[in-house]
Amino acid sequence: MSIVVCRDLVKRFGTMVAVDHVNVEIQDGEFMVFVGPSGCGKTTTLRMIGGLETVTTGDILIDGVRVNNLAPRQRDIAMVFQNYALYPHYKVFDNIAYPLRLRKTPKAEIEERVNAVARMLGVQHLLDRWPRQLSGGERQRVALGRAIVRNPKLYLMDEPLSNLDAKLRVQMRREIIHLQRNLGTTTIYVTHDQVEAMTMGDRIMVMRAGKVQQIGAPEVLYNHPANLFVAQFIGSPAMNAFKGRLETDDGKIVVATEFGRLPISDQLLARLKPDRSPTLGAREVICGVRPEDIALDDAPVTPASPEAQVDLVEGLGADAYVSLTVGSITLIARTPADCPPAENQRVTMHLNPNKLHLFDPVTEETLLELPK
Amino acid sequence: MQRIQWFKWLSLVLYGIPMLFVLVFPFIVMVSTSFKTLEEVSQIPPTFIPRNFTLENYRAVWNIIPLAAHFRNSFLLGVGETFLIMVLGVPAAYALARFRFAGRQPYLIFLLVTQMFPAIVVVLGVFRVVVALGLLNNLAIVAVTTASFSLAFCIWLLVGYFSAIPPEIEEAAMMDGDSRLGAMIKMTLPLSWPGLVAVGVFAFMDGWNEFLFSLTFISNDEMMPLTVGLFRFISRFQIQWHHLMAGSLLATVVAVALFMAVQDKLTRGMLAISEK
Repeated sequence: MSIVVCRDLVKRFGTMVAVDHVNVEIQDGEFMVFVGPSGCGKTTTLRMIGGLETVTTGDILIDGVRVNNLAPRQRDIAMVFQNYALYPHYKVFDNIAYPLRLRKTPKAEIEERVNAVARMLGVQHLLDRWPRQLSGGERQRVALGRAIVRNPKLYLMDEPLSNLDAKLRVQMRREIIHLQRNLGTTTIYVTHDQVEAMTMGDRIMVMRAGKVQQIGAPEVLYNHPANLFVAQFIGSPAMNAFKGRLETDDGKIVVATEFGRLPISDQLLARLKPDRSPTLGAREVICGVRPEDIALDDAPVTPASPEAQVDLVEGLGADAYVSLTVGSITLIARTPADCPPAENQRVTMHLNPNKLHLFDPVTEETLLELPK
Repeated sequence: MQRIQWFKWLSLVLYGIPMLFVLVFPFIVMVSTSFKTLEEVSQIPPTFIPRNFTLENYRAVWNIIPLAAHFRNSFLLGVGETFLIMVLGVPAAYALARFRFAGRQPYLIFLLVTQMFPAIVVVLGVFRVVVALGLLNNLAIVAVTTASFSLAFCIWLLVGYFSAIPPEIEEAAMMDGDSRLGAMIKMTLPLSWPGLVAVGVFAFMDGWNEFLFSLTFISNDEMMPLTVGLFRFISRFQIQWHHLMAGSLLATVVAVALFMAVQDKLTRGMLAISEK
């Protein structure tokens, strides 16, 4: 139970800046996910919080106490590693008991707590085995057991599911969510998998090249991305993006693109940042639209509903991903799988005027107000 | 299948048996000579199986040189060198394997460079230092000098073993509440046990076989290790082959017996880690 604050956190390795002025506050009991492509600094940030990496500048506070110069063992944090990092020369019981033994817990209590944790994780029948005798999922459970056996202030998890196969990953994902909800312990979870981030996090911090891109609840990041990177990183398939220009047709603002003039809803228009409005006449933008916000049918073609050629249809059971070509642009649409268009067919696209995303073509920042 | 069988036999006959012969021949000669009289040793053509089988050589060696003291000294050199290498080499290798610091790479190369010239080059210089320190006839200074020569090589070996242990295991131990030293002692050292044993055995053998510095620094019979003690059977005019070989055989047998005795313990340590 604790609050973690990173204030202007910087980590340099030589001249390379791995973490660049990260500011984040993680609430008591929160499940916070750090997500980003490899090398974005998310693991380094986690390791600094854990004390495994020194802080170049900035502060880390846990429950208001600056911990920059405390050794890992003085911070009362438990960590789960990507490759589990079980102690190969200890049996499962001793692996889980290790943190308790270091704290000179009485023997009977160790026995009791290790057994309780093992039951909770369903590994009680494995306590007498060596780590090398366990499967990946079992090892992961033991690693979790070692972390939760001593009620630390904070859990750090560094891509704990990335070594598991797809099915087991989904299962363990749920188990970790349940575990965290039951224990209520503040958790920071690092992953490069946006699906894990979306499904697990109370809030998500998206990082890129050491910098924080956006911090927010999964639905906020999905519906209101702060920039093009977040827009395309969160969501699968990624958000479509193409160049356009804000123009007026009969007093209505539209996005003029090479394939049509896309209307914008009044709702969306109201969210356009005020400082952008004066330049509306000839404002260059990058327009983004999520695959599910493109509807396909055979209605008559208009400038607002341009025609596209179907290149490829990928059925996924419930949905189908339809690759479309319009001029030089390729878009992906997501449609119900029961009536997908045929390949090489020409279809009419309707981009949801309420769900367009507009970004500055230079800074790639959003031009829309973000919800408070 | 047939071809493989045929190849196996051919390689055994062509390489295996000649190799074995080359390796074992000196030992056969040693054993055979140690049971011969001096006349028979110098006889031409030489005999393999002594015609006048005698145990006299062993009694003579025991009486002529202080054999027990020599054994003790060699053992002390072996143990001393192992101790020094472990105490100095393990922390050095650990630091080189785990930490990235300025000058790490040049330091590693420098260690290698120290291995590039023979000890004989510096023996005179070291001798003068030892004289100045008044440490002649002192086994400890021999152990220190010898250890300083094999330390670099041992550090290189140990860096390799430590680097092979994933640092996450130590990091996990530190997160679980251990200090870095505790994590090193409880995680990295036990996990690199086979490497530590290999280096320890190497260091002991190096001390046990030490000759050059003992010959230079020690003139007192009672302080000599086996190598130098036996060397005294080689005089300017005659080599007492029968005594030399009897002494050498004893030295070998004791060394082998020593290892057989501890081998069980050592390999059991290794098994505890690797077994399942």
